[in-house]
Amino acid sequence: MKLGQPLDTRLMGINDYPYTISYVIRKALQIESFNELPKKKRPPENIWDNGAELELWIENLSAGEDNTVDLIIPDWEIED
Amino acid sequence: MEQKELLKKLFSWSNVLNLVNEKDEVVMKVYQRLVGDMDLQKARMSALRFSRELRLRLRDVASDEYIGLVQPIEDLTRDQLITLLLVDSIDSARQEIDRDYYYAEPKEPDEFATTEEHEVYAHKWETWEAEREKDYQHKLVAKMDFLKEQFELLSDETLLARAKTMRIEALCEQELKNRFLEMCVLFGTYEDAQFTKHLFDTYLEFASQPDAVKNQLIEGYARLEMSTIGLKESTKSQASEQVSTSQ
Repeated sequence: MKLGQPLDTRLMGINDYPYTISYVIRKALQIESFNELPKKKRPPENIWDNGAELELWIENLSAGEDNTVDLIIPDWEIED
Repeated sequence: MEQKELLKKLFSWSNVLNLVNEKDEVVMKVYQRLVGDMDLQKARMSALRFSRELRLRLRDVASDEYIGLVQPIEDLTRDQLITLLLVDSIDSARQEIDRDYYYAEPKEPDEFATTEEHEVYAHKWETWEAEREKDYQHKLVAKMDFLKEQFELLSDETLLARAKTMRIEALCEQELKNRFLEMCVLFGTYEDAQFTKHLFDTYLEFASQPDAVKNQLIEGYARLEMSTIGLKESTKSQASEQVSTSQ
């Protein structure tokens, strides 16, 4: 293995990756996506591997989400 | 296992295996690699078929498998039945614990932490693995004690019926694991270093090999495997580092 080339050149595509590496890539992408959420809404680490708990966490997030938007219109934009 | 070790293990997914004869002379060189997702799924489906076939035979009171493996349970004493039930419950107890087992890692000190706080953090890491193992064993023992109490409450008839059911379950589970590993060996063993030509074309071809050859192939493949906990740890350790550096 050469430096800067973590995956073997014999691997032709993602389907060819050892299942351990593809698992880690998928999981890392999933965990990384948690960072897109505000810190308070990120799932706790102890449920990262528990699909059902994770789903429930996300469902609860969506349920409690405030879908209204405060639209502030300055007075000078309001026509008489 | 340390993070470096986990990463090293993650990328050690192939190996050259020298098959030896009874005189320890190398008779053949083969190449093994961990299988990909598709082969893993194929291996699982095949293994499930084997385990289902065995289950059907074990439930048939006229079959050799029932007479040899299930019927002898009828001659056991109550204490022996409870011991058998406990032995057969270990795997499922472990799985139940694994489902939501989490042992918190030491919390990294913030940027204003004192040297002493860093020292404490480093020390916690040194003992973390052993403490996690101790905690896990403690949970397993508690679970087994609970199961034992539950089994002791059962009537003789229920205990026997439960022991037979669990014996069948345990035998099928073992069959599933064995066949799954064999199928992975079949899909993951090659004649060439480029992994283009499988050593065996069919499962039958693999199964008809002498046990000495099959065992070497299975042991060789098993050395490439990572435990589920190790796999999860390697993802978390990398992700935690990313999260801490991105904050």
